[in-house]
Parts: sequence; C-alpha cells; structure tokens
Amino acid sequence: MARGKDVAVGDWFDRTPLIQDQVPSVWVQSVLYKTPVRAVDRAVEALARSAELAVMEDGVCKRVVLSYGDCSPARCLEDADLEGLRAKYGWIVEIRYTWFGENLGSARGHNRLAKDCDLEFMLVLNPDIVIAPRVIQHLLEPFTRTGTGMSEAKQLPLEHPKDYDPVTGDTSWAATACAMIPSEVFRHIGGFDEDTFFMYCDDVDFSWQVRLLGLRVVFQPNAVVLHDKRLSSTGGWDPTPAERYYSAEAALLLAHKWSRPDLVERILTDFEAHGDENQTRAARTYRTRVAQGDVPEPIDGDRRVGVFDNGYYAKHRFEL
Amino acid sequence: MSNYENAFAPDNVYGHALALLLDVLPSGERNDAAIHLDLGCGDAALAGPLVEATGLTYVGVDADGESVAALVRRGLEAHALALGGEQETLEALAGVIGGRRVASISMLDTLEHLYDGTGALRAIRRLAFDNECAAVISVPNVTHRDIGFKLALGDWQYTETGLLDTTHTRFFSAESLERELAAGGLYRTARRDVELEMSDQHFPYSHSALAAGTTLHHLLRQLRTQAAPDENTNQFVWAVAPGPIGDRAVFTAQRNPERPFLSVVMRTQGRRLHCLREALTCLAGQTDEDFEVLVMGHRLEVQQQIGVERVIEDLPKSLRDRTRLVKVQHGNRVAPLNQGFEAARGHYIVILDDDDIPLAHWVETFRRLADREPGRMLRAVAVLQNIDAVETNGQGGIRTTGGIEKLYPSEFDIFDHLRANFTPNMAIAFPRGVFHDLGMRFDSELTTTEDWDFIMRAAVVVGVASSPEITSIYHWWVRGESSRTMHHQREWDRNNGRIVRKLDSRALILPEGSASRIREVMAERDAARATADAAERRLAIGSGVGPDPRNLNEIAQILESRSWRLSSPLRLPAVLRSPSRRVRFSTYVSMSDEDLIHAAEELRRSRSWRLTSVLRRRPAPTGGSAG
Repeated sequence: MARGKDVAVGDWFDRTPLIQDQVPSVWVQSVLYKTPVRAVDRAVEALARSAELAVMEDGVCKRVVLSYGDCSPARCLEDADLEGLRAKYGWIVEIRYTWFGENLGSARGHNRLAKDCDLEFMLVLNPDIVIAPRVIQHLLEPFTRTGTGMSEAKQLPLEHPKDYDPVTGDTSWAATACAMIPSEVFRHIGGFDEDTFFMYCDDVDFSWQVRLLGLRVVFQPNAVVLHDKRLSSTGGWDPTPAERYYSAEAALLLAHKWSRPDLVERILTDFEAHGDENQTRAARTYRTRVAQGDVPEPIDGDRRVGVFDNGYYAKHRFEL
Repeated sequence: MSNYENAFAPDNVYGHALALLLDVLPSGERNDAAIHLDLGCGDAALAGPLVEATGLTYVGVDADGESVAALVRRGLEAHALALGGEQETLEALAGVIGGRRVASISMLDTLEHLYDGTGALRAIRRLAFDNECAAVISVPNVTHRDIGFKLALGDWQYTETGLLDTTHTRFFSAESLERELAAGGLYRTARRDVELEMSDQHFPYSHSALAAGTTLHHLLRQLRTQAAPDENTNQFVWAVAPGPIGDRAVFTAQRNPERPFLSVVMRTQGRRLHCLREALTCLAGQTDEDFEVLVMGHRLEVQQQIGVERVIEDLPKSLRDRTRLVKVQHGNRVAPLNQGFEAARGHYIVILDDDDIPLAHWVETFRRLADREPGRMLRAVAVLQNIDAVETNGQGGIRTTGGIEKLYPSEFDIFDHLRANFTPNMAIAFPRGVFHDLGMRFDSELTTTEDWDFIMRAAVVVGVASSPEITSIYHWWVRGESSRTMHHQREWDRNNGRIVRKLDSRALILPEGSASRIREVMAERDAARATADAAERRLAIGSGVGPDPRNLNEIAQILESRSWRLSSPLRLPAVLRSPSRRVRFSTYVSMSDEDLIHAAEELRRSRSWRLTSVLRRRPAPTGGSAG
C-alpha cells in the first residue's frame, strides 16, 4: 500500500468533522487466524445487531459490509459456514471472505483487506470480539466533532490501563482490537506499517500517524466490547512466548521509528543483559534488521506525538 | 369386621373433619331433612358427634358388608357399596340417597384404598355440585418425617393400619393430593390437618434417625423442616368444592424437564444502565451459551424500567430470547434474589450484579466444575478492581481506576468462610436444588451479607467444588453509593452476628479432610496460648528486662485486625512454600523494643496490609452492590 506524503496539519483538521450532513457507511474488517466458527458466529451476530440498530433504528449508518481475511493454514470458514452466516445475518451485513493462504500478520492482513474498502469508515475489529449493541453509533459519534481522526472502543473484561481524558476521551493511541477509522485517513497514512510491524504496535504507530496529521484519537468508554482475555490464577497477565517475542521486537522498532534512539539503546541493553529467551531473540533480530537496512526512517523528530512512558506508549493509570 | 376401629376424638381425623364441616355447613342446612353421606364410613366414628352437632341424618357407605351390617345393628343407616368409576358410583349412590337432599359429604381415609380414586372424586364432585353441598376428604400423609427419615436409610415397613397400611393403593403428599383432587374436579377451600409429632411409623423407639436426641435426627430435621411443609402431618383433612376437571396426567411429575445449564440472576435498580450494558455484553460473548438471564428490576420507576427494557431489547437475538425482565417492587435487596431464584429454570443459579463483569469462560468454568462434581456449589475466583463513573463526551461510562487485585483465595475453604466471606456472589453458582428442593431462601432480615449467609447454609449441606480459574471481576466503586456505603458498621456487625448464630444453631456437615484441618487449627491454638502465657509470665515478673508492652500491643493490634485476618489467603502461598514464614504473635514476644518497632513497620509495608488498606477505611468487600 502506498504510504502517504506529508500534508500540512491544518489541512486535515480543517476537513473535520468528517461526519456532517451525510450518513456514512461502515466497512468492518477482521483478520482470522484459526478462529473457531462458533466464535465467529457470536461476533457476527453482535455486529449484525449493532448494524441493525445503527442502520434501521437510529439512521446513523447507511450500510455495513464485513470483510474477513483468513491468515490460517486451513480455512476457518468453509463455504457452508459462510452460507450459514449469510443466511442469518446477510440481510443487514454483507459478508465477504478471503483466504490468504499464508500468515500475513495483522498489519499486512488488514492492509490487504482495506484495498477493497470503498466505504467512508473502516471498523478494524478482532475476529473474536463481541461488540455491544450500540457500538457502531458510539464509535461514529466522535466524528461529528471537529478534529477527530480515530475512535476506539473500551475492551472488557480487562480495560486497557492507558490514560485518556475523562471529559473528551483524548488518548495517546487506540487499540485496533476495535477502532473506527475514516477510510480516507487510512488511505492517506498508507494503512498499517506492515513492513515494520508484524503483530504488535502497528496500532500504536498508526494512531500516532493519525495524531501527526493533527487529528485526535478518541477513547469512547461507553462503546464497550468483549475481548476474550483471561487472567492467570494469580491475577496476572501471562503472555505466550510468541506474544513476548513480538511485543519485544515491536518495542524496539517503535522506539526506532519514533525517533527515540536513546530508548532503543536502553531496551537493547536490557534485553541483552537481563532479558528472557524471547527478548534476547528480539534484540538479535533488531540488530540484524538494522544491519540490513530493514528498518523505517525515523519520524516525529521533534517528539510531538510519540509517548514512551516506563515501557508504555501512553501514561498508564495503573499496572495491569 | 373392619380393621379400622377408631373412636371419635376432637384431635383426630374425625374431630377435624367435623370441625371443618361445621365451618362450611350453613346453619340452615342443619336438620334431619337432609343427609350427610359418609363414604368409606368404616365403623362410623363420625356418626354420633355429627348428628349431635348438625342434626343431619347420617348415611354410611362402605364396601365392607360386615361393617355395614354392624352399623345397621347399631341402628344407623348404612349401605354396602364399593366406590368405583364415576358413573357406576353415581348410579349406586342415587339409590342410597333416594331423592333426599345431600347437605354434606365426607370420605375419610378412603381415597388411598381405591383403585379408581379419580372416579370416586368425580362422583363426589357431581353430588357436591348438584346439591351445592360441602365435602371433606382426608388421606394419610406419606411425607411424614417418620416415614421419610427411615426410608432415607433404606427402611420401609408396612403395617396393618396407619400411614403405611398394607391395603393402600396410592400414597399422597399434599402436592399429589392436590393434583389428584384437581383430576377429579375438586379444589381445597380449607384444611384442618391432623398433626402428630410421632406417627404410628415412629418405631423402633431408638432408631438413630427418629430419636429426637440424636445429631442425625437434628440434621435431618432441620433439612426437612426447611425443605417442605407437612413434616408432622399425619393426615390431610381438607374441605373441598367442585370446579373444572383437570388433566389426569397432572398426577405424575415430569422426570427431567428441559432446563438451561445456568440461570443468571441479575439485580438492577436501573440507575446505571451503562453498567448493565457492560455486564450483558460480557454475557453475549460467553463461550458456553447454555444459560438464561433474569434481569431483576428492583423498585424500578417508569423511566428506569423503560431504560432497562431498552437495554434488553437492544441485545442480539440469541441472548435477548434468553433474557427476561422480572419486576420486583417490594422488599430489600434480598427480595429480587429470592424471586429470581424462584423463577430460575437452570440446573444451577448464579447472581451477577449489574456492575460486575464475567470473563468469557465464566459459564464454561462452572460447567466444567458441574461435570466434575455434580450437585455441589460451583466456585471459581473473582478478582477486585476499582472503578469510577465518567462522563465522556456527554455519555456515561465506567472507568477502571486500579489494577486487578486478587484478594480472594483460589480455593473455597469452609473454615475460612466461617469467619468471613471470601467469595463474591458472582463467583459461585448454586445447584437449583438448594433453593427448590432444600427450600433455602435468602434471609430477608439481613440488610447486608445475605450472600455469605446463603453460601454458608448451602455449603455445609451440598459442599463446594472449586476451580482456581479467575472468571469474574468484582467492581469496587471508589465513589458514589453502594452497599458498603449505604450501611453503617453496626449494621454489618449485627448482620454478621445473626449469620453466626444461625450457623451455631445447626448441625454442620463438613467436607472430607476436615478432621485433620480441625486438629491442625487446635494444635496451633494450643501452641499460641502456651507462648502467650509464657510471655505474660515474663512480663508479670517485671524484671525490667523485656519489651515495652505498648510495642507488643501494636503488633497484636495488627495481627488481630479484621483486615489482617481477612487477608490471610494472600499470605497462604508464601506460607505453603515456607511454613516458617507464618506470622504468629508468639514470634514477637521475645523481641527487643527496637526489633518490635521494626517488625511493626515491616508488617505495615507487607503486600497484604497494603492491599487491604481499603478494608480499614470501610467494611469488607463481601456483598455485591446493585446499581
């Protein structure tokens, strides 16, 4: 996907609010990876109800299209599954499905899906997320106000601890587990940075790009979704080895891209001296990529947007 | 001759039947122009007192010719007639009645002997209807405590007469009698049952389940008393009136009615609809969908009701179809629980207050526990998280303000729970039988901790299956109104006292392994006492050597504080890893003043002391809050 060029901040701000008199349509996209059919069904049913309320009852949305991209080694949804979904929900949500036949990762998978998006807004959604009935209108609502470039839902049962302004909802970045993005903003930015980020921090990077345009990223606490996250028996968060690896790799790449060489050095030192197996591997990978020139050009040199706070990408209200 | 030679007495079935007849028989009917028809009259024990009290002409009917002949010899009108199908009985009785007016009918301890009881009942219905007369029916109660307790231990003994008469063709409970009467088109209008503390089945005298002094009897009796009425009833004596004929099939119960696995009873006051939306969204995403939701709208005003209905109407269809609003306009916070449990159809029932959050495998985890240990209470783990209300862009929402705090232990421990509740109500599901079969109810006298009371009463009977899995988040409001802010400490203490008194009044069934646990606790107590005694003796000697009592007292205050005791589960893993880390008062008695001051600081810096700081500012987080 072609990446956007510099545009004066004011240009984008002046175009807002992005919803004025027109009723927009929403393109929902999810990347599947070994997602059980029943989980997909639950998610689509919830989306369909939200679409029904947004389109038929509140009239805040004209049309909803759901596009699945499947990164699994074998199809998550067979034709019969798709027929079943379309039979139940096709009257309100047009369902599309593409099997990629390879694990593209989240960023590349979403970019691939977004190529076909011809509607005004994109709702980027994890495939196992069950949205509350009025999420579509709650996420569209901030775009009726000046300056909004991205809106984010609140995840349950574990709300992300990143801080947001309790009055305006302004926040550092939006998790794309469930986030609404104007399609033209997405296209202008060039989508997610698929060359840099495989699994984590693509959404942090994207959010900061939105803010580089002078637009706000807004957290909507009343737009709630269930994201099936579990806790360890001690009440902690137990990431898998893969999650530890990719988040370590993403931390280095994000710090690099957002002009924090000081942090890159500190993280590398920490990983190499005290890190676990995944972190030392991530440090090795990073060094290899730098040696090969396989890292992005740093941006935000004057550090207007990027936030690095004790290993987080926003000020956190508490430790989770 | 009949086996049933029972004389009239005011406190037996004849006395009660006559009293009922006098209650329902208009005074204008009391003359010898009308008859009283006594079906299955036996020795006509009712005859004399009835005639004397009512002036009616007594007419006895019995299948036993010898009994009838004896009555005739006594100068009574009596007819030999076997009660059978409705039509043949009516025709035969028409000959007996002979055009006279029937003022009243009795059929005492007879129905249980008949092969076609329904036919006889329908005949009575027709006569009662045509003559606009009263009828009284009695049958023995097979659910008398004496029969049940013996049967529970495999003992069932017929006798010549009495509750388990060998000639009985059918046995009745109050419920089955009601059904049988309905099948015959008769409905109870009044009752004067015969109560007997010790029935004719109260034998042998020293039977461990029957003898009033045994622990077993005490245990069985408290369960039986709570589970269902009529434990002392020897005979049901009911006045009945004719009505529509019910379906005969209603006499038999449906063995396994279709039920969802779980009923979720969700209290709401409709004040925080965004909380309700959050909780319902989490239910919409459950990995096990075999549950129903009863939203218990408590004292909803019209606008609040509309709001709650709107939230339910918004749900995805599959959940909406399993969700219903039940309005409860009376009572305290206990009322919606009792009404919700009553209406629940699930095999298990769980409470979820509208401001708490289940994880996606909440139902699934309960299911796994039920598969492993059917019929027990199902207990997973809840964690605590602070929340606050926000209004972002003009819309109300919930904002978490603190991390996840695992205050509650991973396993249910009955002994710890005797002291306080470590199980928020959404972390435990009750088998429906606790409410529907054992008759347990939430105590409406309790204004707080009603869940602890119910958990304990049920746990000591059915036991608890535990999973260390964290499946729910108990939200703790840092501001605003909730159960802990609405009630004074005195009220919490009063309620706790009531719960403990109730537990003390019962025989408790403890789970396997309890003997060793009790021995361990007693040994610890003895050791602590011995150490404390030694310390006191040293202090009493007053040699001038030894710590300042004020420093020791400070340690004692921390260790004896409610929050330290409540947080003991937090220290348990460390103690299990290293028993020497168990904090005991005895550890401190020989310390110097300097060490004691340092030790007090260490205790205050400990994780469990810091995590439970909230408990020292407000009551323990034991009750749910409805929003």
